Amino acid sequence: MSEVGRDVSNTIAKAPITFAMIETADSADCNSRKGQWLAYGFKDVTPTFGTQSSVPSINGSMVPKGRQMLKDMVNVSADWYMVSGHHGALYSSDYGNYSSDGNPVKDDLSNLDSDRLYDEEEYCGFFNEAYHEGRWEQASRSSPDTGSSANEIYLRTTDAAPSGIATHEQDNPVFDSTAWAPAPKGIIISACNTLAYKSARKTWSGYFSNAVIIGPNDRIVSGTWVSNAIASAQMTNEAFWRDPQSILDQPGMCEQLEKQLTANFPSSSSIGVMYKGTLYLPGWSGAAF
Amino acid sequence: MRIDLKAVRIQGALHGLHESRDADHLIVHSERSLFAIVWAAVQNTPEGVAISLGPERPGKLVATDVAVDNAWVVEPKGQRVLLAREGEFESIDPWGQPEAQKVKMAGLPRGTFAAAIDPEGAHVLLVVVRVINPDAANYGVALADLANARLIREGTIGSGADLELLWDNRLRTWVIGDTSKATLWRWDGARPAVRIAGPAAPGPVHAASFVAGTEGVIVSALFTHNGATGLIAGQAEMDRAVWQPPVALPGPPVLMAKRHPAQAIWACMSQAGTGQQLQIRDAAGKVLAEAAVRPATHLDNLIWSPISPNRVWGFGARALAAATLSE
Repeated sequence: MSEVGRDVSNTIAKAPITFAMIETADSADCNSRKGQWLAYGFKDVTPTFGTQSSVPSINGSMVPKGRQMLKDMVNVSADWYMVSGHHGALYSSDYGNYSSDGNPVKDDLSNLDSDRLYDEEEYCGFFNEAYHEGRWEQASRSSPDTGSSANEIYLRTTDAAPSGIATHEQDNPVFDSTAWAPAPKGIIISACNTLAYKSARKTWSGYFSNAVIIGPNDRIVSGTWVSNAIASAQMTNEAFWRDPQSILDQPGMCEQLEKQLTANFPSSSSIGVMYKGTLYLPGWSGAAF
Repeated sequence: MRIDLKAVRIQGALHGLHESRDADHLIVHSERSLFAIVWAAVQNTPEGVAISLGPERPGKLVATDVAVDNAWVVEPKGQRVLLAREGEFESIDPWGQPEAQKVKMAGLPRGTFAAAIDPEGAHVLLVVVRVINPDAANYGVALADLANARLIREGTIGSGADLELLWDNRLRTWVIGDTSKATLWRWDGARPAVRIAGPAAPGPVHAASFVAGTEGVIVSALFTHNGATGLIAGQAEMDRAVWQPPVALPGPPVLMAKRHPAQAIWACMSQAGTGQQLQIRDAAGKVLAEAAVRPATHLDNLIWSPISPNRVWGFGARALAAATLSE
């Protein structure tokens, strides 16, 4: 009898909450968040990797399993998603389109028009190390296969780049599952500039109009910046993860969440919240795109 | 061996802690402030109460407006807190007068993410950010020469994972450890750093920790193999690491392993479902003692006391804990 009582104690009458994770760089942020969610009794429904104690990064020898996991994730519906890794423009050579003086962008970025880059770049994605060191560093829209690698993983966060400028796979199972899956409660996009690119904001918001989306609005070094800020925010208790909409639909609560995240995020960078078409950044909120 | 684990809930987010003076006095970074607290005064807080730090409450206010990227460290001799801010350090007596002394440091950036100090208190090693391109940055290190107000940047160390900084008193160099891959670098503060590769583990390394003690610097790398956790420990020599054979860590998955500074025992955090267990394991992976962590005091970090050999500190976003070991 005591065993039965122990099993059902504090999760009885609570709906099961599920989550799924994709990691293409260092796993520390996903591991931290997974630990917190498991502590609430939530269930990791990530295909293949969900039963493991730690979240594998889809790099090196993990790529074949990871690629299969991504394919299987299209058939998964989760309340929360966390996607983490490298994130940026389609190719690093794209920066050349945003030079402020017509010359190639300098190493110190002093002649980069970053406002134009983040507002006008059409194609972005999450990617792993093989893509980062390969196509991302070496390819261009006119030479899209340079640096291609068998181990590359790229998940679009905007519309897919057309085949004339990008020949690699761009499937993002979180987007692609929307064809059938119920809307998730929220998504954590833990990487550089995930909310900085207007085209990415528009795409995430288009697929997930009612989900809360949390991510950096600037460069970050480590996803732990994001996972620590989320863990440290007062609002992100179990009730928030169970039903964020009932909290964020109240006046002023999105601003409060953004303030709490910012207070626990490096002051040399920036984190934001996107909810129902509005972007919340430190000291500013407005239309997301 | 027995573990006496006491954990208290903290109302504001807890970002870090250092011992100060002895194993009963702590400096903690909570929300946007540093506080000096006496553990004995808070350790018996009832389970249902979350401690709020600040004036009229436990905790003497040491510094305000402290972001998570204002690194700080406690001086070994004077026990003053050195807090990095853009362009300067603040030197504060945490238990005395609150006025901070300023130490100008041209070039000290706004964001610093970890700090370590040498035994003489003359140099502070800092984790700083290096911008790579509009979509990428990584961590590097810089050395602050306090006497000459000079910042020396190291150009070869770079990592996207959190870095641990240590002073290796045996070989008289800094050690910079990558907590993701167990790679480390040795740096003497002048010449280019020497990179030392992580272990060839049977499976992917998912966490690494580093400790400086009487034997030098020991690396502990956790890996996963066939769904089980294993540990590889290694001694960091000048230009290589000498790795011990991997050992299995039976039981629920181990997510963190921190080696004792002077003994071959590890404080480990394991998690099975909703439950966390603090464990002490030996070099063979055997559990010598364990204690359950209450869900309300979820812990993310473990730190061996540099002063008391029987004390392990733990903290999470909302919890502070002390484990006292006894036979």
